Amino acid sequence: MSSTQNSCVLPENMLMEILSWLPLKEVVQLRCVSKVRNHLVSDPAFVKLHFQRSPKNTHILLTFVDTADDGAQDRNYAVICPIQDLLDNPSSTLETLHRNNRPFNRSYTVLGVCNGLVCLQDSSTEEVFSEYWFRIWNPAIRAMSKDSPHIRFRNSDYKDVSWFRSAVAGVMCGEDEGAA
Amino acid sequence: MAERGESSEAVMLKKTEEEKLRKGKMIVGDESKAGYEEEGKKVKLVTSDGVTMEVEISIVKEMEIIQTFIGATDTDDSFIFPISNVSSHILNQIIELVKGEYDQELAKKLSHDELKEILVAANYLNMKTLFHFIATAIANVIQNKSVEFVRDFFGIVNDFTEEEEAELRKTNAWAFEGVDED
Repeated sequence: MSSTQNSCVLPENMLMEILSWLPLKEVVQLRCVSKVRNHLVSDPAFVKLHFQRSPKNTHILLTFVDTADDGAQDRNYAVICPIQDLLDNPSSTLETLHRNNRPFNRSYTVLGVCNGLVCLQDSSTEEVFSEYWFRIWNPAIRAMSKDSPHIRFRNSDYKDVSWFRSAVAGVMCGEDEGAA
Repeated sequence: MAERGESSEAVMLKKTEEEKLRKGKMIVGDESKAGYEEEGKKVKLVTSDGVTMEVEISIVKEMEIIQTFIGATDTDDSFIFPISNVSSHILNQIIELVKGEYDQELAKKLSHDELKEILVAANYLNMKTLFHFIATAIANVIQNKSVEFVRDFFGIVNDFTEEEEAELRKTNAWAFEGVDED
């Protein structure tokens, strides 16, 4: 009868329930608890539960282009910023935002945002061909997917590839959220 | 003699008829009144340690596992429900929490083992509000605690090698900024 003495071990579904109430940063810490906990973070069922419980629309994604004066390539910046920070410090400048929120400064273009995931596109254009590739970025757990396969266009065939970019963003938003 | 017998029987009949009527009124009467009349009614529960406890119907109503029984059978006061997975100590704690309208201050007074046992009991009794309440209370306890504390709390064995754990901590180093020492 008294199977549960002083050290009561909780079943998996109850652990999942408890951990789903923790802030994401803490969930990431708990990856180090054991191998099962490590996998939990990327378990789709847990990801979904945690996402449901998380407060919505707490952060804003700011993007801007740094135009190089010296003829070098323009750089795209993206800063994830808590909206509360902006409300508390209305006089925030890019400088102060940089310090508090990790910017990234690759040549990525942000195609779209969905369920906290950011779809990024990078490209390289040469004389005859252009190449495009994509990454999914999860700023909350600071995870970035690997490069997608590169997609190659002959420049003379496709004058405008914006339809293609919006199609990629559309495919991404149609999918369920998941850890990158 | 026969006449007398008949009349006494008639009186009895009249009595039961009246009782039926009264019962009928109670059932037909408006919902709020029925609820009021039910208040104070108690249900007997037998815990895992064999203690029979009389629990107020308002609390028992949150236990969906028992509600399904109450709904299915015409219960009277003599009906006893066994709850073989819950001790009298834990049932007492549950009653306090429900009466206290789920106050996190009350949860803070519970020991770690009590918290876990209440969670298991809430799951067994199918008390949804209590289950969520205790899950968040436990989340509050382990929030901002070290990995070692969490292992200890849940009785989880660390199955990483030292190297594996060091590597994981390195790749997730940002998450460890500003963790309280136990």
